[in-house]
Amino acid sequence: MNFEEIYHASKDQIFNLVLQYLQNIEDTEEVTQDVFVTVHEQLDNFQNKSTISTWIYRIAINKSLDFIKAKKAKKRFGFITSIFGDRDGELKYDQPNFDHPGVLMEQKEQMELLFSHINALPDTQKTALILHKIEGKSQQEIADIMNSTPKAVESLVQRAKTNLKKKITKKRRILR
Amino acid sequence: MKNTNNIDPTNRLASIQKVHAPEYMLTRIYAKIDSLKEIKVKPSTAWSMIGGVAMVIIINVAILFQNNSTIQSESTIISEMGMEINNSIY
Repeated sequence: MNFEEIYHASKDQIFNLVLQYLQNIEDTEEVTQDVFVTVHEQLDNFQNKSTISTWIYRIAINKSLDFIKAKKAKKRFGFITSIFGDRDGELKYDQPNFDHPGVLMEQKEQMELLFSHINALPDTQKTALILHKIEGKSQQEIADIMNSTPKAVESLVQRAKTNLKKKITKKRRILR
Repeated sequence: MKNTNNIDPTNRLASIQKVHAPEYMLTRIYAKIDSLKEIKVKPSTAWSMIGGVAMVIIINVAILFQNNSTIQSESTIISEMGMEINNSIY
């Protein structure tokens, strides 16, 4: 398979996966582009230890998590500069902006809240939950992508659900 | 009253619809790949540049050491160069 064939076969899947991590269309386009640039660069070095789609999924997950980390670091730096006084008082980071085209308008508020809780989960739980609940992958497929076992994936999804329930209940108590 | 605590909040995630990647993305990917190619320096070029800088440093150090070993006293240099001042004006 050449690069363009791979791109056309997986572009929508990868775009959707990255979108679940970032929930912002602009950031998703940027990261998806980076994913395929890496695929183009590394295609000759690809060893058939896994399927191409598993390999691309791994790249997409790592790029998305790296992007989130970089954004958080930028946010922290922006906070520090704002404490020490910025000339025009402007923050040097972008506020997170929920812009998920796959979410229905009437559910936007609820989904934004749900995603804010998902974003606070540990990376492994978040990945297992997104792949299982949104992307509809089987435990075996997720285990292949995450270099893990189906049992471990099942446990990650369960822990993610429990943590989410706790966070939501806590939030409801605060709001009452 | 309905107990909302037992409802799995992740069930709502199933309603998220799939979207299509924008048509222009492949063009942008190729533009990114091309821009990276322009920035990339061949390893051979990088090594020859490092070698060149190292050579300049080695030559400079060698000259410094050579000069140190042949330092002559001020009076010797003055006499060898015929720079002695033998008048009373200065």
